[in-house]
Amino acid sequence: MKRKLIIFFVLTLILTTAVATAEEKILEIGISQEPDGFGTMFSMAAGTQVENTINPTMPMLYRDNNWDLHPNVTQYRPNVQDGTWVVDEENEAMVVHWKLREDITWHDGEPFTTEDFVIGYNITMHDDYPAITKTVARYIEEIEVLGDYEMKLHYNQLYPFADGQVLGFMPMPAHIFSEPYEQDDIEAIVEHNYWRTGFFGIGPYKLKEWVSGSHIELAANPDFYRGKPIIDTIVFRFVEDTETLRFMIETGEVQASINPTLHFDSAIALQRSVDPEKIHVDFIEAITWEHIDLNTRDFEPFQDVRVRRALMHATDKEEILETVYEGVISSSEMPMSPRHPHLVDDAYDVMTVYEYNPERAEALLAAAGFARGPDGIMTHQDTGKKLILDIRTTAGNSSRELAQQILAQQWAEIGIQVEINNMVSTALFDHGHLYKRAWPHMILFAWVSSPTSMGDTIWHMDAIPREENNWEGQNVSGWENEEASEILDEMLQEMDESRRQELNTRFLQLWTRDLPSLPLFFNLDITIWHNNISGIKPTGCNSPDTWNIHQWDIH
Amino acid sequence: MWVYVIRRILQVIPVLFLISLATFALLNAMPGDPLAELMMADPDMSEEDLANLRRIYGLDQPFQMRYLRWMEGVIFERDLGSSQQYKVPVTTLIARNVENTFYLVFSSFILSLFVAIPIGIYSALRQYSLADYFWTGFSFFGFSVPNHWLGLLLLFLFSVQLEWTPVGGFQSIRVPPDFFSQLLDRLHHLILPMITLGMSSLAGWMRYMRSTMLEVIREDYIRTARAKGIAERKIIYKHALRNAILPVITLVMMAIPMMLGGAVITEAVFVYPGMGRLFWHSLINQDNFVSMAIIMIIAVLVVLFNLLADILYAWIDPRIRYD
Amino acid sequence: MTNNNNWQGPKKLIEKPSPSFSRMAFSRFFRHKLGVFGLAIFLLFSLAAILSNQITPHSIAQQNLRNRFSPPTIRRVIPTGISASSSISVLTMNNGEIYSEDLVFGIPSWYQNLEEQITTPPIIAHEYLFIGTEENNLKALNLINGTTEWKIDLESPLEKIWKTSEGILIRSGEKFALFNQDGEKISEVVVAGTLKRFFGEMNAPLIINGAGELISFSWDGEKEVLSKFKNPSPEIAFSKDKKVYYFANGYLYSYNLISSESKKLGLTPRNPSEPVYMNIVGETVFLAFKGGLTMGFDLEKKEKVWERTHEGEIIASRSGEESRIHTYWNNGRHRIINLETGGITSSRTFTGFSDIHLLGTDELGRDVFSRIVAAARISLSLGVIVALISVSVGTIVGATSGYFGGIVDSIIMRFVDFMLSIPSLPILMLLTYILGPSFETMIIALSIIGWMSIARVVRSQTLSLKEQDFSKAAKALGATNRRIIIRHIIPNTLAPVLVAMTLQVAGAILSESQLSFLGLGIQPPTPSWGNMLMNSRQYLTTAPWLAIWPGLCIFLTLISINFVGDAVRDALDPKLKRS
Repeated sequence: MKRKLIIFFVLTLILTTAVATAEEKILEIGISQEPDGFGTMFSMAAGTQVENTINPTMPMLYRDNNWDLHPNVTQYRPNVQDGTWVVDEENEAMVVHWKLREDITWHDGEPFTTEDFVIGYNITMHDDYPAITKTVARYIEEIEVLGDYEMKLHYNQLYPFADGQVLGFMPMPAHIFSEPYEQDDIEAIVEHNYWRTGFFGIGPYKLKEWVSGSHIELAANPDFYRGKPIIDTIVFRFVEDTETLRFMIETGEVQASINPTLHFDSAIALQRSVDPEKIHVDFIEAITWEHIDLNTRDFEPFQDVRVRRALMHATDKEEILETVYEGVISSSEMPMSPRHPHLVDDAYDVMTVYEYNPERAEALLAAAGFARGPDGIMTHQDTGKKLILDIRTTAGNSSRELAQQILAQQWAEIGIQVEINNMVSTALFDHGHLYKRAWPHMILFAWVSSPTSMGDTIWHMDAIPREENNWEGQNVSGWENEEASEILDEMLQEMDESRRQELNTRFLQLWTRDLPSLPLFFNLDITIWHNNISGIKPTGCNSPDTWNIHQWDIH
Repeated sequence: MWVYVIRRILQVIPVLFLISLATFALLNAMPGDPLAELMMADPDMSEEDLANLRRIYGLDQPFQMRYLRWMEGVIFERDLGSSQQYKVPVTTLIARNVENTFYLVFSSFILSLFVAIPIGIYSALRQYSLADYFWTGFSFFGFSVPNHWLGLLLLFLFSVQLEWTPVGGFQSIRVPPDFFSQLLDRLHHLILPMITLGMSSLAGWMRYMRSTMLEVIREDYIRTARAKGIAERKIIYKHALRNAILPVITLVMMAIPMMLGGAVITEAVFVYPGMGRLFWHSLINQDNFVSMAIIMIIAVLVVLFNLLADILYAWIDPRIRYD
Repeated sequence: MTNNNNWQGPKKLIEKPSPSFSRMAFSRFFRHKLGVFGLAIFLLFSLAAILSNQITPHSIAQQNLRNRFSPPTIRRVIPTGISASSSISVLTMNNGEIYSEDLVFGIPSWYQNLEEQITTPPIIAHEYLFIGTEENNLKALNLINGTTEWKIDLESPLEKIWKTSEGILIRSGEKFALFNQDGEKISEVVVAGTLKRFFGEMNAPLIINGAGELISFSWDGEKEVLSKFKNPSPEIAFSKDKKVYYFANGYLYSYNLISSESKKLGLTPRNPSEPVYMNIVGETVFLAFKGGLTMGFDLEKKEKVWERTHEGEIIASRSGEESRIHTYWNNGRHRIINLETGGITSSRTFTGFSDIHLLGTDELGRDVFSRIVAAARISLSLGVIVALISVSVGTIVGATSGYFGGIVDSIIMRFVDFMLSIPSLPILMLLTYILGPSFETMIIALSIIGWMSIARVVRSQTLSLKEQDFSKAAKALGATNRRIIIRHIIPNTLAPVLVAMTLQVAGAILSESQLSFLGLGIQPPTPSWGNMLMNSRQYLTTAPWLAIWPGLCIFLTLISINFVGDAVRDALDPKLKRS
């Protein structure tokens, strides 16, 4: 009996120590960029992913992988029905009433209150604070504080995403920034090491160490208000070279990789070479819209919709996608992601689809007054001008360059000669180039959109860059459609989502009929993880994939 | 002699001024607008935001104003400006990268020196031996091999195939904090970049050491020494080597800034977070104050080492007049 | 710059050459073995560059992506099948169109439109192309131009054609019939029942019928049921090495013809549908199913190695180079599937060395050899042009500066010193960035960096030359300064300039490749050794040879130029000769 007891004790002892020293769960995630910093002054994708792990980048509502929205630091999602969101259409003003959770503290122990919102808003609105965008913050007239955990945001205009989808600014720790703000020392705020190595927040992980050029180490925040994180330590390793990153994923040196990660080529190569039971390569359609803008304002033939349609009919997107993206991506017929909440089935019924049909394309060109000249190039019968088109894209982006070369061959079949004239991205997107339309005919690039963008900045006729408006606006192909612009205006002020969807359907009908740009496809977001990791659910949009990082686990 | 040295130092200052002006002008002539590119990535950003950012970064000011302001900061506040991308002072930003590059350049410099000099001497003394032919062949190889290719080959062989060395980076994480493990880990990461960067200078010095040594041992005073019956060992190490090594040292001096430039390529191949890589990034992102600072660091070093080499050369070679 | 190609060592003075100097230098140069070797390599490269269009099997123009077997009309009609011999592959369409491709050069060969429906897959056998067309015709077409050589009317619809050693075998109605290549019937046998699969040797034919029976028959009409795969009944089969492999009810089986044993090989797809295509290449069984599922099964490891789904359904396939299989799909796609991974290689990408592609192909299926040669043209001409510009500018500046001396000299030399103290690679990067990366930009940028060292050399030569008797005499005779510089000074500085020039060529080629490596040099699709090398960086594990060739070319060029430079130096300056 005594012996049994001893054995029992020894066993319990061993077991308890085993439990006590149970292996620390460590996850190393490879990303191909090093964040330049955290907060609204920085815009790198890597920054957003890591920042969200430390401090939620969408504080009011977070977006999950199905693009559904859930309250984050707030107690509810405001809505018009129960009066938490009051819309005054007459005066074009709104009030949104917020109640914060009361169990949230900053990583340094200070309570997270409305004060942090006020300082965040004030700093953002300061003239010398270089936030990437202040557009939505400008819609906010004032923050009315009703207590530590209650506030009302007063808007000076109608804005459909004021229910927390887009806040326009970030709460900042008042106990750090109140003092310099009161002394009007914005430089001290901008250069504060809070934004880099001293960063903290209210999120599931605390910043432990940031070794520039190497990695960021994060430790679990057991007090995280949405639940204690399962993984103890998360390390983000910066591996800028994709070949190296691929190698590290294969060997298990990093066990996961989230956007920004491998390029498509390397991801496909990885998927082929590894055991799918061991490593999962996830492709999810993102909302980066690759397309060709046509210079419809300066190049006369493009003003004829038949020529634009001919180009589309002569474009075999399938071939491009199969060659460049091995058929993983599907093509797009419109400037809106199939996952966009505004896109409903009705839209597919009313929009015009331009299938690949070179004969049709030639017929359209003939109708527009073109015929093949002796050299086989389409020549205008009256003016004698040949269809020799200049196409530009970002030099060094091999997928785009490859797509461009295939396009050139496809168009050569209907007698359009293409001259490739690529430029480095900063030059291509330079104000004097892109917006002043220094590109004569065509330009291939992508617009990044978000689930809340409606296309107003890109397709509104007031957004056409012209000399009168100092060449400002992103409607670079110069599409001028009054009805479409009115629809966009209306959508911007419409709080009812189903009504917005109706409007959007009409908009897409107009857009596909006029075809101001040639839609190609939506890019993919790539996420990779070893199969012993569970819980990674990429969003496929600009909302961080780390939205549920506290639920990730390693087995 | 001192007058000569001081005059040369005084000459350096206007040169550096001109370089800074020229570089600043060139950086400003770069086409494109990094801020405009931000709009591609952020759907919420508006023209108003863009104009505001431009004003904050002083990009709405004319070129000469910006240069003067920068120069003022450099001279009076020892401030090289702020990084537009990272929002921190350039000096803070580049410190780490400069340190990494220093390790790389310094280690490959030491490696080259300690391989090249003995082998050069050895080859010269055993002229026409098999070893001499081998090392001469090797120096031709090292001298002609493009270092990015060499880097790729080494990377493929040692990192990808044999998995002896890491594929990139400059340190592992969670290395025991004691000095020895840290050092080993650093060296482990450094070894391939070090060889890659050092190869051409190694080959050059080896060849040069060999030829100066050959020249010296044919000189009359060596023959005289030999005739006097002084031990061969003593002749070589006391008389010949001393005279042969001095011109090599001036050459070695000039090589340091060249290696700094070459580090751009090596760092690109090995994804080593040094100054060269930062320069490349800042150039692409048009973070001009960072590019400016790095070019100026290299320029100062070029000028400085040229000066040192000149002075050293003047000091060694009495035939040079200090006028 | 990284490479110390520019160092000159201590400056040596050159005496006024004697009249026979050049001849002596010439012969001295040719006594320098390494120099001659270097010159030979360099000339070889130059020749290759000049003749690039003649010597490459795949011209750059032909390297486009359409250089594949996918005719544009393919998607509106359905292919009936494909057949290939070692030199030609033929694709037939149900509407009577036939496309052929020259497999040696990978370019389209002939096109025929029979204007009647083709009902069977085509078979290439005995220098003919056999097809069955509507109205029960068997046709034999000429393989060289696609014209119809002969045709036979059959009684019932033609189901399928096979190649045999004597001619062809057809299945028409319930009959098997053997024809020779001229269309004469040799023998005929009736084997009733639906045919699932025919295989085996011609003298011992085997079929699987609809009832799942493996039947052997002989040409005199005898039949024997070898085995009855009752449960499960084979859905598709393929025979290889005296074994019949068949797929049934979600599993792959093998049946040994000698021991008559059936073996279950393993589990196959997760959601099997009706198999439509089977092939065995090497040790890999390739299976395709309705709905676009494809699968690879390794016979050695006895396990499924991959499984993938593509859009459409396979209708035909042929085995391609290495372990690749060309598949043709009912939606008009031509997909080349890598049997090791199941992935689609969009064209002939990353093939190793072969007769067709001497150095293999790159990530786009472009011929690496052709690109190397085309790049030689770019890289070498760049090197030579930059050297010529640098030499002209450097010589003029250096001679002027040295000859006039005084204030002109000190201004120019201060400027040269200033230029030399700007770090060259960063400035080159900056310049190419400003001017926009292109061939012209590279020339401008590299020349801006290159002329100073030459100017220095020429100046120091001029300083000593102008003090010599012949220039003093010329001056005394009333020659103008310009005449003295051009007639007397410059020709005599030729020796060191030549040496410096070889270094310039090497330096320019190296700098180009470095800049291209950083993405700032010659832009794709124009090939240069540098951008090929840069490109190869991301395929270092998959296709390391892509990194070897361009790098080797740069290396060989540089080393040959260095050899030549050395030889020139020794030849022109005997005092410096090192042996």
